[in-house]
Amino acid sequence: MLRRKARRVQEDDDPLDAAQERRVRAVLALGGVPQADLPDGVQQVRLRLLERAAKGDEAPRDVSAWAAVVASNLAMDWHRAKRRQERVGERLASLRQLEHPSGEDTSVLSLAVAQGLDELPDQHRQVLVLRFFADLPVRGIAEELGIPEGTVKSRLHSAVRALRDRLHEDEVV
Amino acid sequence: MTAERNQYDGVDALLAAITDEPLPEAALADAAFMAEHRAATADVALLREQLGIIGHALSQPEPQPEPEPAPKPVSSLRPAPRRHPGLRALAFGTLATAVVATMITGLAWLVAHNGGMNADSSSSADQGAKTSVGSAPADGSATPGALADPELYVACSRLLVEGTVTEVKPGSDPRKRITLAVTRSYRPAHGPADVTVVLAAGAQPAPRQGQHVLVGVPKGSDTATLWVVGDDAVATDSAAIVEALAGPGTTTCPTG
Repeated sequence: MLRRKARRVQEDDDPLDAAQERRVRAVLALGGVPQADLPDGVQQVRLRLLERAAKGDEAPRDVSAWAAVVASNLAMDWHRAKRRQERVGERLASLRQLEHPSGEDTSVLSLAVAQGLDELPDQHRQVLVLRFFADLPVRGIAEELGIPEGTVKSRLHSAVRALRDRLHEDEVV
Repeated sequence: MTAERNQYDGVDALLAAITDEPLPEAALADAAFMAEHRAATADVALLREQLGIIGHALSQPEPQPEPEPAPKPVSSLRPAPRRHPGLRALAFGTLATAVVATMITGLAWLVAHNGGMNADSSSSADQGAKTSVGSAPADGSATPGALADPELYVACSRLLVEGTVTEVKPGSDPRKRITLAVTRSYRPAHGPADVTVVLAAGAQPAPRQGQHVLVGVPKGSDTATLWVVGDDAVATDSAAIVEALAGPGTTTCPTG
């Protein structure tokens, strides 16, 4: 019933606008959700938003931030459920065109970052994407994930340090 | 405030850059800390930029594969001989495109493209462009391009030459005009030393001065439908042309 309602609502009033949907897709993809499953993931986010409304909960103050957190959790669930996880680095390498203003050097850098992302523990990857892609503040991440701020900082610190070390070792920066 | 080694209140330069919170006065006065903070801030900015690029790239919908063209094979065509792989034409553009010119008798000319445009096709001219199209796939599921029949292609060509690209000029439309110093002319048998042909937009590999190429233009057309680049590829396809020319010559072009 919820799916039928979702379809009806989607036709009349999509809870996610185009930009938000795009952002959700990106967070899912950065979290390792395979390309083919991205539409399903976006739909899951829509449904969560509708469920929230159906329960009478207040709408999120920042739908984009909320949707990004939900998407990042979904990405982690995807991996935990042993569904096929797409390595971001491989997916990026297979793309024929990568829009880079500065050409090949930037492409090498993007691949290195993508490969570094793949090597991060899921929880570190999640907070990294929420902080530096979805631009959530540390406090916001902590509140949404229901974990202490110190934990968020610790995970971010570990993630960024690992990526920095990798990029410097690879001599791409 | 306590200043542990490279930290102020438990916050090192990297964490300060990550959280983007205001720095304490003592940290601001610490030159070494500030140098580290600047480096960390730059790396964080780079990471933010890269995540944006990667996220944008990965969230694009996958391009839909080009629908397979539906050629109308003519029963009078002889099957492509298996003695050689057949002539190859290059894919035009990164997405497969099909150009069909329907001749009077209903023969569909195809410049079939595969989707395999990858780094190989941008390799140096000497290595040869191996984007191979026009040959029948193993399962026979798709109609081979017209270039799978060298005799027919030769019969229907008004120009078929091998040479070196001496000039590449943009045309008035997206096509390019290529001038070749001809090293060998198959059609006509004795052609001029230099020829200029029109190459379709998006031809791959992109034409460049100095390339060793094999080019073919069919009768009734002004645009090349055969564009083979590189020593190896040209040698193979030239051999097929030579063999076709040495044949009985019974193949005629349906268009006359």
